[in-house]
Order: sequence, then structure tokens, then C-alpha cells
Amino acid sequence: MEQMDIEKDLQTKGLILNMGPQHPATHGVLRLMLHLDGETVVKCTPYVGYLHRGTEKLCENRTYISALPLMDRLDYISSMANDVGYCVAVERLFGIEPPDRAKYIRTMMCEMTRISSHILWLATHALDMGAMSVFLHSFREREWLLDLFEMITGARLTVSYPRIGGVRCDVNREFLESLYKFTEEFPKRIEEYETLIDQNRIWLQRTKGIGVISARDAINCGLTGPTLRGSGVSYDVRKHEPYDAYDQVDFEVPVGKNGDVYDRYRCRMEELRQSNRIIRQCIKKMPDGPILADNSPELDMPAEGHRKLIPEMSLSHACISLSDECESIAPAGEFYSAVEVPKGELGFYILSDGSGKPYRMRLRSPSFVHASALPRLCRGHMVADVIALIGTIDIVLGECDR
Amino acid sequence: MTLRDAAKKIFFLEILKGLALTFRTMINRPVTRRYPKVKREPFMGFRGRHAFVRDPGTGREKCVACLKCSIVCPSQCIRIEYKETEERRVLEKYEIEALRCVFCGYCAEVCPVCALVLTEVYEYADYTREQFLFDRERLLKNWDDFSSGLKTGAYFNKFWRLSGIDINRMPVGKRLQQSVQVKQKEFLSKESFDKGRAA
Amino acid sequence: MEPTEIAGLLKERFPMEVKEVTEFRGQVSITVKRERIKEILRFLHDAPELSFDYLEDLCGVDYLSKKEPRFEVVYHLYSMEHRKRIRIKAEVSEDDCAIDSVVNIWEGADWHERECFDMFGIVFKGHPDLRRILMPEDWEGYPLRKDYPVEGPEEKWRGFVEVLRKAEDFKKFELKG
Repeated sequence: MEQMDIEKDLQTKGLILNMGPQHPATHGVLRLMLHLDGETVVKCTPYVGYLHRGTEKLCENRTYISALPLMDRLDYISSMANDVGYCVAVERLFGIEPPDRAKYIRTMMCEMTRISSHILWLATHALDMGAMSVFLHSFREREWLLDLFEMITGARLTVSYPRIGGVRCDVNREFLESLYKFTEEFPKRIEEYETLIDQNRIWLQRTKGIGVISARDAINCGLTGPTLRGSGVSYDVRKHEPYDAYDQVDFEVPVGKNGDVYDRYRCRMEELRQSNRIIRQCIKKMPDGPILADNSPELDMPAEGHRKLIPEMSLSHACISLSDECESIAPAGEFYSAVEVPKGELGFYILSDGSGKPYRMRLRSPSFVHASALPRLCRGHMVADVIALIGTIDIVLGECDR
Repeated sequence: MTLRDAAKKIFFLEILKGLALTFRTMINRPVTRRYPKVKREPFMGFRGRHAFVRDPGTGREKCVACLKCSIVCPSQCIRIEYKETEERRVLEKYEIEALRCVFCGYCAEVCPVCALVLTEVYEYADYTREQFLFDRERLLKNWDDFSSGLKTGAYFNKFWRLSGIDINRMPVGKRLQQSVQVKQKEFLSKESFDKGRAA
Repeated sequence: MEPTEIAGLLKERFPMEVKEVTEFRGQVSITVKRERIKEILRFLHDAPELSFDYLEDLCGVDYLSKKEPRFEVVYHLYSMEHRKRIRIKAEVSEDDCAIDSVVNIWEGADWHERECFDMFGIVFKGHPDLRRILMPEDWEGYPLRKDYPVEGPEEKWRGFVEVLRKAEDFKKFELKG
């Protein structure tokens, strides 16, 4: 009786919880305002823009070549894929065709980046959900890949390796042997990670049925990559619009069924195996030849959009003459080009006015669109599921905010 | 549900499998490295601290003030001032703001006389911001510090002539560039070392 | 249907709105007037032989003094079924800087339109929550316009000034005995 009286007078109010920009589980500076009713999320509002660096505006003030290191820092975890995307976009705009060896090298590097990015995703996703040992086991492989990057390009994370028309330098035998050894050992390691979490009842309870989105809604929201493929839509830019050497290697695109967190996790784990397969094929099929196209622009490309002539003359003449130019390479026009980065579809819309600087460089980043889908996914779930959902959409704030 | 599934559910079989993997790792050799006691040598071509190569003939830098590094730098961190004479340009001021630099390596790659390198030094933390504004003298000092720590007597940086790039595309200075001979630290006897320390 | 055929179909159906059809390296762009943009995009979304169900990108472009009208809102559409891509460019003038929002057709347009507003100042009529997304809420000016300096405004933003002042305060400290 008394309890009923107390309950009649009890007034409940929703709680507004701020998951601030500094939070270990938000994978960067993402701020979430959660309106809670008890433990259930009624409304979720993400606030982004804490890592906005004005990349699009900066690109308008630099030549096409000088803008490349800015592209590294978009999704800093998979920087090689961003660079390749930019180079593919500019090559399609200019009409430059990279040589075959460069295409295979770029494909191989993109897939190495995909493995390394998915490993980091798995490590942080599992860490947030409580499975800490996966983080430590999987970073062993990531270190191997980062050492391989350092061997060739000189930097582990923000490589500025692809060039417009090819790649910056050649890969040597030591690199290919080490990479081949990696591809032989990696399938066993994937099984190790799966032993730790795949059948674990806690993992299954925390991921099955959470964040379900239907195929139609996912396409409407603009999701791409494994986030979309978990809902059953097999859209992969590598198959729909192949670039580099993707039309010459065999691989499958894993597709989920239910569209929940577990299916997206399975999609990414399968993608690890497929990437391994692609790398092996690239190493076996790698052709010999040049690595940079003949008509690719030089590093000190003038701002008028011409190619440089390398004069045969004396030492001093070669240094100071900046005006030896041959034909114009930058046509006036616009082009949209998309590549499949580990997070989804990265689109470059480049508008050129005939000079050596882009007039408008628009970056369509997958993380931006996925973060906008977060309110829809979170509705009706509990606070602990919000952590799982941030992990499953796999956002990197550098890409989201540019 | 079969008997097998029931057994799995009651006896936490999948959790035990995961635990077995974790405990097996205790016996294996650790993959971590105990930095700073154990260090790995960076690979050749690692993009670290900037340095001006000392020309073995003149003993000074080789820069001809062509301004190519300053134009191509994506973060615009190189500032150059020069004076024009009848025959050539004379470098007056050369500054690299290392805190702005993104270490892309374009400046070392584009330099037509191979005057600038990005050495393999990555441990150069300091206490004030002013220490990171590298001017000419500091860049030459960086080179002296780096070259005295080299194990071999000749140094050729990867970005001077990148492998796979057609040699006819490169300016003449890069085509003719050879390994730079460096002076290594002479072996000091104990007395001269103590004398040096006392001084 | 090839993109050029789609452009032809669109021109038949909306003859007053379609201004120009250009092609560059295999990609077709259709420049339209902004008045009936919602109908045009609704037609492209719903028609079964077109079914552009995926909005890839929505962005703005500033053509300061290169052409009139000054702004353009560019929609990149993709059809999952037919694997075809098309680009619609809607012209927006500077004095009446507004266009209809397409959030009802594609939910994913929500944040793209907010970013376009933030960077260019183009108002999207009918958008549920149009406010700044990447810049701070009280920022003045529209950064991606061509007349906005790349170094930033001369007068620093008040939040930045506050942070600098606090940093200076932290530098003054006394070591206690």
C-alpha cells in the first residue's frame, strides 16, 4: 500500500547524458547528446566538427601534387587508400593511365591498408565491448603491416606513397617476401581472433539484434561499405566500377542478412580473408615495368597546369629554370570518382578550371554519412548498445570532419 | 537442442577455448620490444629530422636557392631569402619550421642538387618551441649529428634517386649524385676522453 | 538506360527547367533551375526504369565572378539496380540563396545539406534542423566561399581567444617550496 502511494507521487524525468568529445569509446572527438528514459535511449544527437581542418579549402590553394599529403590525413588509419582514391580521381580527370605494375602495387597496398584498418576496427570494437585480449593479439599483425609500409615509403601511418600516374618508388624483393610470409600466416591469426569472440555467448548477446537497419533504409540513408553490406545489399565500388587492378584479381564480396551488428562484424572478418587472397594474387601476378606514367606531372608542377620539361643542360640551369613547360595537362571539366576505402565509399568530386590547382575539391567521406545514421540506429536501444553501434559503423573523425 | 549443444551451454565450452588461447600466449615469446632499452633501427628512407648535406668540397651546404622545396611544401613551412648576383643566387636565410612540417619528403625529393635530406633520426624531442625552428646552421648541425652516428662511411638517401623512376626524368644534379662520404667519430682513447670531459 | 538517354528523358519531361546537358569523360551533368528541383529529383527517384535510390553526394560550388548565378548545388545520384550515375546541378543565385530540401526523398541528404549551409550559406527550405555542423555554432561567415580568406578572419573567434588566454594563464605558476 505504502509503495503504491509513493509511486503515485514519484515524478520521473528524462536524463540528458553528454558523451563528450573526450571519451575513450567514441573513437575520436565525437560528441553524443543522449536523451535517456531510464536506460533506454529516446533520442541521440551527434555533434561533429571538433576535428575540422578545412581540407577542402586548403586543397584549393595548392597544386594537385601538393594536395596529396592532405589526403593522407583524412582517414589517418587507412591513409594509403585515401591517397589511391585521390590519385585515381585526378588520373581519370586528366586522362592519365598508370602502368600495370603501378596498378598492382596500388591494389596490393590498398588491401594491406584494408587489413590494417579492419584489425584496428576489430581491436577497438572488441575493447569497447569488454573483450580486451583481441586488441593485444591483433595489433601484432598490424605492427607487421606498418613495418612493411615503413620499409617502402618511409612512414608508418601517413604514407604519401601513390603519385598521380603511378607510385612514388618501387617495391623490392625483401618487401614482397615478407608480405608473402604474412599472407601465409594471417589466416591462422584470423581464426585466433574468432576463437576469442565469435562463439562467445556474451559477444552474441551484445551484438545480435542490435542496430538492425533494413536494406531499403540503409540505401536511403546513404550508407556504404560493410555497414551497408551487412544489410544484404551487395554494393562494392571495387566490383561496380573497378579501378587499378581489381578487375584482374578474383575475390568475393561478403554480404550479411539481418543488418545487425553481428552481421557487419562477420562481413568485415570475411573481408580480411578476401583481402589476404587479393594480396597473394597480386604478388604472384605482379608484372615488370615502369611505375610512373610518362605523362604524369612532376612534383614541382606549375600552378598553370603544365608539365615540366627536364632540360639536359648544366647543373645551374636545371635548378633555377622554372618555366620550361610542355603541354598543358589539366583540362577544364568536372569528375566524380569513388573508391572503396575500408570504411565505405570515398568520393572525390573535382572541378578543374584548366589551371594546376583544383577549383573545387569535394570529399564525400563515408564516416560523415554513417555518423548521420547514428540517431536512427540508436533509437530504442540501451546505453551499452550505443557503444556497440559506434563501433559497428566504424567512423574515424578525421574523415568525418575533414 | 542436441546433447552437444547442451554441454556447450552448461560447461562454457567456447569461453574455455578462448581462455585456453589466452593462457597459451603466456608461454610464448613476447612480441613486444622494451623500448627504450631495446630499439629497432629505422628502415632506410625513414622520414625523420631534416638536415642540410655538407658538401665535402666546400664544407657548407649545397643549396642554390631555387625555391623548389618552398613551392612544393604542402604545409608551407620553408622560408627562403636569397640574393641575386650576376652568376648565381646566394642563399641568405633558410628556415624550416619543423613543428609545421608533415614529413612528406617532397622537399628532399624535389631538390635538384640533393642538398636537403630527411634523416633517420626520430628522437629529438625538446622543451621549447624555439628549438624547432631549424635555420641554416641548425640544419648543418643536424647533419653532423646524424652522420657521426652512422655506422658506414658513405650515405645515400633513398629520396635522392627513388628506385623505379626513370633516370631521364630527373634533373642533372640528381642523376649524378653519388654517395656522400661522412667523417665518423674517431675512436678516442680513455685519457683524451677524460681530458675532453674535464675541459 | 544510358546517362545521355536519361538526360534526354528529363529534358522532355521538364523542358523549362533543364538548362544545359554537358558530358565530360563519360559523366553526364544536367544543369537545372532550382524552382522544381524537388519534383525533378522525386521523378528520378521513383521512376522504375531510372530508380536512382542512392544519393551519393550533395555539395555546393561557388563560381564567384566566373558565371551567374553564383552558387550551384550539385547532386550525385546512383542507381543500385541499373548501376548508372548522373549529376544534377541546381543553380542558386546570391541574392535569394535558398533551395528546397530533399530530406523527404533521401534521408541521407540531411547532414550534407547542413554542411552546404555551413560552408556556403545556402538555406535549405523544409530542412528539419538547419544549423552549423562543422564550424562552431556562433561562427560568422561562410568558409568555403571564394571571398573568404584561407587564413581565416582577421578578428579571431571568441572561443579561440579564450583558449589562448587560458594557455597564457597556465604558463604563470609558482613552484611551492
